[in-house]
Amino acid sequence: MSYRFLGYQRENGQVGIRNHVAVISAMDNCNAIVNKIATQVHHCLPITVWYGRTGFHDQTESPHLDALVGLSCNPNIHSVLVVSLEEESAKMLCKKVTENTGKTATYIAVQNEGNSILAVAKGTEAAAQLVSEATEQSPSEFDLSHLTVGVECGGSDTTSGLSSNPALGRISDLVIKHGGKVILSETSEILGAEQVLAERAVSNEVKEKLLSIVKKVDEESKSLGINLSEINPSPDNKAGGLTTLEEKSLGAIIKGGTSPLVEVLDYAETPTKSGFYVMDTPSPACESITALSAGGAQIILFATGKGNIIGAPVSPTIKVTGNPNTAVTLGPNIDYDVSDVFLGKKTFDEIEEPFMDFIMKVASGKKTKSEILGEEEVVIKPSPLSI
Amino acid sequence: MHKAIFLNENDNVVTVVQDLNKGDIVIYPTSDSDKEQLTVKEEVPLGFKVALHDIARNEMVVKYGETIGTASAPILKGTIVHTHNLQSLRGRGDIE
Repeated sequence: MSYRFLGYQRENGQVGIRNHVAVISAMDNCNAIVNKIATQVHHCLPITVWYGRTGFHDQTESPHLDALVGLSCNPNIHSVLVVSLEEESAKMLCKKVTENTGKTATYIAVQNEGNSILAVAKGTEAAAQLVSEATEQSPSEFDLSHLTVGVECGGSDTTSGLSSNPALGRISDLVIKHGGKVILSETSEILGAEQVLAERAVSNEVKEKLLSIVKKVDEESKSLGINLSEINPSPDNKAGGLTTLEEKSLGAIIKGGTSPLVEVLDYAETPTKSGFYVMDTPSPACESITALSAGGAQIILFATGKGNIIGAPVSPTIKVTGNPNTAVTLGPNIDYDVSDVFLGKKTFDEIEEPFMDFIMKVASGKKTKSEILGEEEVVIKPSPLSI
Repeated sequence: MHKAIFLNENDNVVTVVQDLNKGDIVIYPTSDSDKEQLTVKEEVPLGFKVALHDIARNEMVVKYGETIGTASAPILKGTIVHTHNLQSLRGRGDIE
């Protein structure tokens, strides 16, 4: 079976499944300007952030800068307008985006324009021009080797590890078989299941990195004197029958499929060759899907049990449930229902092809529920230090 | 007949796929047999785990063929396995 989708060719060879002009806040003080520009210019994608005023440097780890560069470089983004208070941070971001991808990345700085009203006016004009240019481009057909899929789960219950996550795992294996890439994230939700993933590492080095990122979470919780299982599984996870973090993790990692683990990526890092990857990220969904988008995932498959509605604005997020009750109550937010597998009415073999066909429709332009309803958010992992 | 999901031959729990009443019988296919049965001894909500046999305090609870924690209280066959009788072994900064 050959799966193909309609995408947008980028200069660097990558392929977008959307053709967004992103209007991005470099830092929190510019969010209002970004939202005003997006009100005036149809068909642009506003991305607002918290923090960032001291996030633009190369001195130490800077998740803020890494995430904004990654989100801007995501192939679903045609071009970028950065809005910043001052010029240097904006320039730094634009330079990295253009160097990495060749795409247009321009900026406005409030202090250069004089005030916020003039900044909105100039930004509106710039964004309108970018949208005009973006809409010249027509999509063409591509195969799965051009696709990076992020796999996520949130609002999990025991149905997740028994139906929706294994369904995602089937897709993960299929995408990789056809030359694509799959990224699994949420380090603390690997804890308790790391031995299973470690066995699939392609080298000792990869295995050691996987074990070290999980050990860090384990040791941090110990040094803080907390029982991690009192926090994760969350109250809704527990109401859905999940008892311990080990149980949740063992169910969560299934969504990555069964392929060898090629590499463990740092936060917001982009995978290069085909295969299965783990990315070191926080476990809350907003933070995790933001990191997956920043790592270049054009599409996110998001399994939920009790119900989590959120999607990534940059990467269309397909909400999948295997809980027959949630499929009804959360119906307006669910894109794909695999509860027949949980109930034993269908096998994973039976749902694989229709599920993949659905994913190809979304990749080709069909809107997901979170895109339609606007239930999307960007949350960048907090910097180690807010100075 | 009600159904439950059995994942691995080392597991000592199954997961029920619908709300059950006390006395309901669930069937759970295994690699050896498609007719294994268990009577539940209390109401069990959809998605909850039930012990396949008596589990002693401190005995490992196994699902997916892997340890998901240890019994914090004795668990009787056919009763719910959850936070009241199963505890995590990982990320435990609260114990020595």
